Amino acid sequence: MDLKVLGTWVAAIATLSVYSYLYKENALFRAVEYILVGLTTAHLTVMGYQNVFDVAIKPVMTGTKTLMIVPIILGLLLYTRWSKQYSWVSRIPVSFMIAVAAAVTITGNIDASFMRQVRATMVPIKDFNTFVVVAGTISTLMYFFFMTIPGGSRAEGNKGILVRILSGGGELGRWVMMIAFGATFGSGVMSRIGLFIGRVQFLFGDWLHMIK
Amino acid sequence: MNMLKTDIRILHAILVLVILFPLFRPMGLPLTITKPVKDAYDLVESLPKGSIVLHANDVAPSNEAENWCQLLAMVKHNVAKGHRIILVSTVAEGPMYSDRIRREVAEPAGYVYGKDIVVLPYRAGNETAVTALAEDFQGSYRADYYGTPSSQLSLMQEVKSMKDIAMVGCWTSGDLGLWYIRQVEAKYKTPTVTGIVAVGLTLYGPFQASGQLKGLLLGQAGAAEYETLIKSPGKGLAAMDAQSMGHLYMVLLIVIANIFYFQAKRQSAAAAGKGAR
Repeated sequence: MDLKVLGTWVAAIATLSVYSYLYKENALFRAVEYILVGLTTAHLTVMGYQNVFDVAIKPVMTGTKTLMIVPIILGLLLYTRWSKQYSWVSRIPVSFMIAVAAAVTITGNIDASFMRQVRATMVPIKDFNTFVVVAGTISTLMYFFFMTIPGGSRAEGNKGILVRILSGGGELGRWVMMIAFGATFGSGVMSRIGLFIGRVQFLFGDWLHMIK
Repeated sequence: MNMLKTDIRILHAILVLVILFPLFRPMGLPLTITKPVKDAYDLVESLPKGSIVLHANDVAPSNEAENWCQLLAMVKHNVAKGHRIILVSTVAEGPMYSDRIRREVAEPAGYVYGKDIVVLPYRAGNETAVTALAEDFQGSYRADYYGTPSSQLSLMQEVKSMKDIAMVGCWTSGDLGLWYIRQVEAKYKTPTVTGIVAVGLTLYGPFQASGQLKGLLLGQAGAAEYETLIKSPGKGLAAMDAQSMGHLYMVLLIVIANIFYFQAKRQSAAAAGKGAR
């Protein structure tokens, strides 16, 4: 049997086994679940080893990048976590990784995720969309910052004009967030249906050749 | 009230039927091309022939249904425009799909491996790997996915850093697009487009609205819109009728469940009122 055909049959049976869970939890589902976990772990182990070998071990062995010995040693130190006596040593590579990752990402984050996002909300209100952006941003901020101020919207009897504006804005912010959560849920449904359609296309197309 | 106690398996079975029907009998429901997809299309159209495009391909079996048809559609467009393509991955499964791009799309169109297209191996490290790649592209990849030294691949010799890349495409179900926005678009101003699974709308939408993303393909719908623009129907377009019917079914369930919920609430309130009297 052609290997591609065999692969398609294995994938089809595995797909049906997984979906059998929708009817009832069963042994077939569990078997496929364990096989998936095992295969994924094996694949990641091989790819991870290949990655470390190509990036670090090989350059050290060939003498093209001898400094790569430093990350190799740091990587090996991570395994001291398994020793009660020396587990503290693993904190050195962990702190190194956290520091490097933070340093690398913060530089891009400040500009991309903060400054330019803030700038994108400071736009002239020229149409309905820009109005929604500005009003939505301000009201959501008001919800988080002013809804619980002493004497604020949740304090009975305080009906000052400033309090009314802040509490009204905060209430609008709550609605804006609810709409955003609704959009997230809607796109979540779209995503899940998309995954299911992909499997159906595989089963009835690639496997049974009943649809194009 | 009994409606609220319906066996969930019956609802699942109806969903299967609702999705199967349009796959067997396409209905041709209308599809609107959204601005983020048109922007991505226009960006690819604007790149001159021979431009180098980097596709960060994080397609894996878990997101294949949505991201694979997006990537295929854009690569087909790149190939039609004569762009040269480099594929990189930060997930272990990515290179398998990159290899399929080479075999199923590029080489049948006459692309020469090493000169017009290169498939690079998986790199661990997430955002730090993207940073390293952006700063020292050749240093990050001494060999391709097949083990050929980068020095023997002419396309690799032309790329020193991200400044030599005309466009980046990120295909992901996670944060990959954000890493490229932070480490590539922000620092090198390389035009970046992203194809994401539909659930990522609220994560990536603000970056598209701010102009940091030059285009955004959202789920199978994004792929279907792109396939429509390049006039090359694929799995994305084939799935759209089923998507629409599936959503219609969900909307109906939500409406019906709410009607029964409020009816049940009113009945219990009335019963409580009678009891009090």
